[in-house]
Amino acid sequence: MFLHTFLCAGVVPFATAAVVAIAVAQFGAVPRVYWLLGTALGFVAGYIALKNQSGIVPAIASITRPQTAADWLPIIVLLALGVGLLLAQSAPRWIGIGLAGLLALAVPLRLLCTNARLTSEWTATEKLACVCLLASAFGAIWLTLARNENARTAKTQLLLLLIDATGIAAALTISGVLVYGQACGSLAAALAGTALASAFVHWQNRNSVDEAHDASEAFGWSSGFPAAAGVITFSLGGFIILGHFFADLSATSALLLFVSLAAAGGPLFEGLLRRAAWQHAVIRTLACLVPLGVAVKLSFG
Amino acid sequence: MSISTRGVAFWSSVFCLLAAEQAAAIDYYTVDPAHTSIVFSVAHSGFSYTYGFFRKATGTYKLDKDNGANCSFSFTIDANSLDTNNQDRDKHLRSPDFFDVQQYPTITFQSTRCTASNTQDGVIYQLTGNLTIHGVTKQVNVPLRMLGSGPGPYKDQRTGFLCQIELKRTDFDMKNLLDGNLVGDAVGITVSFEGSQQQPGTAPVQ
Repeated sequence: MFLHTFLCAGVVPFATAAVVAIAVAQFGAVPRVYWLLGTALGFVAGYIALKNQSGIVPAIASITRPQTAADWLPIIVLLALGVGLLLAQSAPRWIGIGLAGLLALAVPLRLLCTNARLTSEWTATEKLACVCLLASAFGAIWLTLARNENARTAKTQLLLLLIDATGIAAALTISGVLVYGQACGSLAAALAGTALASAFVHWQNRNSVDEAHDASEAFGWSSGFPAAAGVITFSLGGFIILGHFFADLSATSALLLFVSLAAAGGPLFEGLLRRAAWQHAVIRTLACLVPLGVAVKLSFG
Repeated sequence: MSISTRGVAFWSSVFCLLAAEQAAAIDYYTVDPAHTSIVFSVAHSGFSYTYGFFRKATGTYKLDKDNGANCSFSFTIDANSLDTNNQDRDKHLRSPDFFDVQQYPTITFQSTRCTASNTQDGVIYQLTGNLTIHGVTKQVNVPLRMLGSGPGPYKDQRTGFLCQIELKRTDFDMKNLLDGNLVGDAVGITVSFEGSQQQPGTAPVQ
């Protein structure tokens, strides 16, 4: 079982993300584009691999004809990819932001509309409040992750995002849903694969490194992973929500995981940026890992 | 040749009597949850079998002693009521890894065809019907042995049944933890239930 999980949730998304990112970069794509494509397609490939227990056709069918709430997440991630590509291009910014807002509103509706307890026991006001709250959380995290393009902090942020995705996977697995944990693991692997591909592209074009003032910028990390903010937000955020509403992840744990996610990737206050790099890294690491650790601990509950 | 009014009335009466007799031959029952047991067993890593219950079930059925084809059975089980005597395992079984009870809160069975036969073991009803688990509906054949029939302790008319079948959980799209037979594919199911005959005038079963 562990070998199967390692292959499907680790090797497949990692390799897919790396191959896609390198291939797209060869065609001259900027980091924003190959980070988006690598992360999104790596995650989707991992999800299909995890579903590939009765053959590839039923696995793909689980995405084209979703049955469970989680089966909608690859579709949502592909939609986020589309919006991200639009934002990365020269399309009017208001169109991209409008579509992102619509997606943030539609995702909780889509994920939760099959929840029997919520649809039958909650009042219309409670449902509306819940959807608005979750849409706001999605929107806030997307904006937080997307706004950051600081080359100085990119390495720490990327590492913390990887730890965060793995921690969310652990919290969900401990809460009783192995499939959600595995799928979050595939997002972590896709991020790692894209980061490695980004470094490879940097090594290929190493002549330009000398001109770049920071290695993270040359790796394409600082401008790359913020572009994948939508993909990261909806995949990890979506599983956190599903873990709470369809399994036994407590509301406190879910909130802490969202905080940890925002702290991992988001920009810190300007005042903090003026501090030494190591101080900045320590503060960010604590802001990310403390809520993550508490959430994982609570999941054992 | 014209049919006289008296003749029409006569034959109408005959048909009505026959229809009434036919209706009278069908008895309607409501499943008694207090005397209904739904037990399942599944292999664990090839070492042992784990047994569990579904503690909440409702159902209705109708029996025609003269014509098995008129019999039908309908069951609804609350998937959230499963109990394997271990809270962590129950939590996992209710999760999207297995029953996904928040999305698929009920397990249902509705018979579509029935035949009855008298054997050494009593009356055996062979049911064919639609079983829905985890949102997947499959046609299954269920042998149902009548264990007893007669007045119950509360002076009501009762019938009781037993059925034992084996299903594959993968047929119902529950495919997790199959590697190394960690949780077996084959699930043994034993259902025993009693039904109390409905009073005339109450709504018949569907």
